[in-house]
Amino acid sequence: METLHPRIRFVWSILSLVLALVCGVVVVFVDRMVLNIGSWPAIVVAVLVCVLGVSYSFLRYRRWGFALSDDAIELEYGVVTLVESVVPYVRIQHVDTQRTAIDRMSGLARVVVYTAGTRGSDVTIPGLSPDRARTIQQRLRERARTDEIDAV
Amino acid sequence: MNRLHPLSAVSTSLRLGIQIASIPFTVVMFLNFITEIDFMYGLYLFPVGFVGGVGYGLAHYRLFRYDLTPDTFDVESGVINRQERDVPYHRIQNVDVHQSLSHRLFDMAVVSVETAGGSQTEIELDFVSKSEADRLQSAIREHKRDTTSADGSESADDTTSSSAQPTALFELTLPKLLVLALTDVRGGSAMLSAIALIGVRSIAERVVLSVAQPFGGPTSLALESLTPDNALVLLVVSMVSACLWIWLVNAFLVFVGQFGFVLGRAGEDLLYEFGLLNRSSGSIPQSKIQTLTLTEPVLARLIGWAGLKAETAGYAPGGDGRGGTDYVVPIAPREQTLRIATAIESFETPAINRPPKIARRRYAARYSIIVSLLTLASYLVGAVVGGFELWYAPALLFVLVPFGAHAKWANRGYRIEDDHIIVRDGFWRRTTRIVPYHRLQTIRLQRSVFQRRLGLADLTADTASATVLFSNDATAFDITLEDARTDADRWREQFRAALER
Repeated sequence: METLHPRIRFVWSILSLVLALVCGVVVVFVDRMVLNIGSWPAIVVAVLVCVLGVSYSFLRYRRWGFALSDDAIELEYGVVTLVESVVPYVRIQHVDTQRTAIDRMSGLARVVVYTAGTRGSDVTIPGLSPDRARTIQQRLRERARTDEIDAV
Repeated sequence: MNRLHPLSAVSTSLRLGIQIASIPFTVVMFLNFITEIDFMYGLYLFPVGFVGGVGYGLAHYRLFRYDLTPDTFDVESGVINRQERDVPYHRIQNVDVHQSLSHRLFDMAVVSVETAGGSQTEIELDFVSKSEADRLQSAIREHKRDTTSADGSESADDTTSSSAQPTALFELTLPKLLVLALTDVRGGSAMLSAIALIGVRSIAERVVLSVAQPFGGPTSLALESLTPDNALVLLVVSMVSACLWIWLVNAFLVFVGQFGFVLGRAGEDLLYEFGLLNRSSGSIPQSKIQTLTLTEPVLARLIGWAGLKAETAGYAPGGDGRGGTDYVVPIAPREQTLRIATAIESFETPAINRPPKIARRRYAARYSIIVSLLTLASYLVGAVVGGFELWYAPALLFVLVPFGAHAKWANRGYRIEDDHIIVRDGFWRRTTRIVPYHRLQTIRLQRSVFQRRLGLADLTADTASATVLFSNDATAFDITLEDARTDADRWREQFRAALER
């Protein structure tokens, strides 16, 4: 199994810090409007979300793995619910490399694989260096092309 | 190039005329409400908008053209943005013909053509004459057979059986229709039942109150005559009567909706038709069927009857807000349904192996937690409101927990055949999905925190199915992790083998 770029841990952690901040602000707001307890609930909530978020980010990184085998992409991910997924190359409709604003800021990219299935019909591999994302896309494109069978 | 029926120009123009005319009218009325502007301006603008809308409607009619070429179904459309769309016949999944009541008065119909791509219907002809719709449906079928048999790939032996006259496979007779109406309860009917209830509100109130009275219900709905206790009695009684009401309204809707259902086969296509007021007909190419689903609502199961649905990868076969896919067989004795099902897809039996017993314990635990939470909530309400003697009533539901858990467990399960995966789930509406290996898209093994503790896993076979909303992929729930691992590998092997064949 291949792992993601280690930097994604910190990207996810920073995102969860932002979430913690938002939660804290919401609690402060609710406190000012209705409860008038003081500022400690906001701090407790923010710290809690922060600790949970950061440990979630690190666990998520540890659990993430993918492999390009002979006939399919194999993926493993998930913290609360563990998912092991197999996407045969024959079923790939098209492959994207994407870079969101946050991806670009952190110098990372992601590969998105589309199939015709209902759920899980687009599979995203996050946290890849741009070069690696392009290589993976290239490899998938070659594999997907070798089969002439109707992908539906 | 062909045009839509001239009558469609009339109806589209009138509809658009009224729609567009009402926009400035509403805006002026609104402005009149908040400023000093004279609302007569709205009346002056009305004809302007109407003429504009009619003009647009006529232009739309003039500029909309379709044609059947030897290889593709071509459509040109659009007034401001022009669009030309060519759909190759061999990519077409379903062709549906729908007639609403007003269409039937003038012998008109709407034709929808679905392919696997896109998020909506690929081609919609709104509307053409019924005879033209039928001509298109059979012409597309014929063209498709020509293109596929030219490849020599599919159904070469079918060329002898002419598709001119479909052979009948199934007919929903009146007794069957009545069974269907009484057993096939759909969630969608709840909405219409609520609307229908407004019409009979005062009667419904009186009925519910008089039924609840002997059990200690309130004498009237006035707030001062309500205590927590008699409110609870009233709640239970009205929930039971609501269920009965939904059941009745649903029976009526199903009766009208599925009236006169017939299924036939023409060449390699399945053709069906149904409806009392609105009439719909659809065609499904057998080579495009992804999964078969055996549906057994709890009441139908009691008498050993079952229905059958066939899913393709088309966006929404018959799914224009009518909820889910159309039936291939709405309901019939189980043997008859199975005979038709095995003729379409050559699986052996819909039998399954149940999940391990430990899964049943899991469901019991889950339901116990829900009942405990309900009881706790009711206790808290009692503590806050006061005078709530029956707060423990939700705890009575604990009696049902073992039965519920068993029912859930007993109806779940799955089995592997040489060419198919068979997956079953659901108590109220039991569905058995039959998935051929060569239709697999992705395989997913999933374990939640609770499942991991018990060594269980869910194994999902994803197919290119049509129902996006409320979709339930073929999932084998709560099987042991070992089984899930070995079967996931086996599915993968079988899938590869099925493609090479």
